[in-house]
Amino acid sequence: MANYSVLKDAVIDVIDDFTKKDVIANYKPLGNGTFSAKSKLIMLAINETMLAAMVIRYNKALSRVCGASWRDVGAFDLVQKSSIGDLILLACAASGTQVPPGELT
Amino acid sequence: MRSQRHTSPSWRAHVKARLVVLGCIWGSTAFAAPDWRAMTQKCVSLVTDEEVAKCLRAGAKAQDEQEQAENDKKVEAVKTELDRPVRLLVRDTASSISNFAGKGLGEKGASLSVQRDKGEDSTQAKIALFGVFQPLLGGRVQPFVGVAVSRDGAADPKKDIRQLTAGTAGPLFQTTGPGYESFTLIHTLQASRRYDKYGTTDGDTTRVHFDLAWAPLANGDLLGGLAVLPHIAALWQRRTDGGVENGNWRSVYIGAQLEKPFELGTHKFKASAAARRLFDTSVPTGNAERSANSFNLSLDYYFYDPDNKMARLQPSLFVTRETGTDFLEYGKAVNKTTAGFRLKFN
Repeated sequence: MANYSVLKDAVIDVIDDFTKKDVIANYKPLGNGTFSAKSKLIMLAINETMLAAMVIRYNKALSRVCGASWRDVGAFDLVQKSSIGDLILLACAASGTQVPPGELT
Repeated sequence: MRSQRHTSPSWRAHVKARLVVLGCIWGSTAFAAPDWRAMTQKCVSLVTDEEVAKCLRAGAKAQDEQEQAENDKKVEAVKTELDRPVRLLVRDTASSISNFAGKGLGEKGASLSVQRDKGEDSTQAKIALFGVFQPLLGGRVQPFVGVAVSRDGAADPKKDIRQLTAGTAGPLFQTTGPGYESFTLIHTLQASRRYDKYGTTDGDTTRVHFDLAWAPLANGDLLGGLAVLPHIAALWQRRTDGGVENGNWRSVYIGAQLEKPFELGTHKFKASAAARRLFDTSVPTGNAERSANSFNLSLDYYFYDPDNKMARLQPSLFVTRETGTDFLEYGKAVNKTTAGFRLKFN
């Protein structure tokens, strides 16, 4: 099982890779930043097609972080997600990682 | 000195007031669930510092446990979905140009509609049920099977077509470099068996379809929010009930899908279009090679938030204009406008 904060960082890194906006630098969940778990992916120009295209890097990045506990997800799983938090939650479910109290933020 | 400060009434009152304020702030945030405020107020009413501290620690622990349980429930719900060996989808057609990776299997939700054609009203139903299996090869391949029914009372002759289909879809290849500049090849490999109750379009179809997703074009960045997804495909059709048309048809088609979501006040719409051109490369003896166009223009109005993909039932109104040759429906010419209610189930 992966560490939650490492896994969350990996998801945010993949999202940052697929948008021109600087998600990593502006991800401040307690209200001071532009982005949080509630941010809509469509606001980052990540639509369904881009989510389908994201599958390969999402699986690669998270299997690197989670090791053997990671189970690959498919395009069908990703195209149904609409926020950054949805993708973090999907990563937790696919790796069996617990979301700690106070999260998803 | 420290002990004296802790027990002085003014200090205690000050600390209690701050704890109540803090509790109220926590109680009003989304992260602290229900009862920080009540718990803090209860704790500060206790007599000694030790009791207050113990009460707050116990309260904090209970809150953590409650939040943990809620989070575990959310993760479990997603995990249950992932664990299912087969997941079901309801769409409009089994032979859509769109592949499931981009737009969901089938282009849109199942539809039941009333249409007026040649002065007569009639009903139309387009329903396809898909089962999607677990992904393979790092998510590049996701197998699916499906059954579809397409009935059209306005067609002449009437149309009642059943299809069985199976295949795979997913992003096969992606260039390196930043994802927002990447090029991804999204495939759909599909084989279908078709039964035509009233017509003569029974047969088998196999197609290899590639969506060419260049990120700046596919995400709408390049054209002010208009997302464009070109595609190219090879198509094999074996007609078994078409008389002189019986035999093997080999074709290629190229085209693009365009999509632009927009809002008018709080109302959400999506305009979409598809254009494609088919070329036959081999046809049965006695038939001419086709070079045909197909166009589809559609406007959808959503009764739900289309950005909320988790919505299980997704009702919408639509109006669609189709012209040209629908070569995935065995080359039938279409020229019609359809309006109706669409229901998509995820």
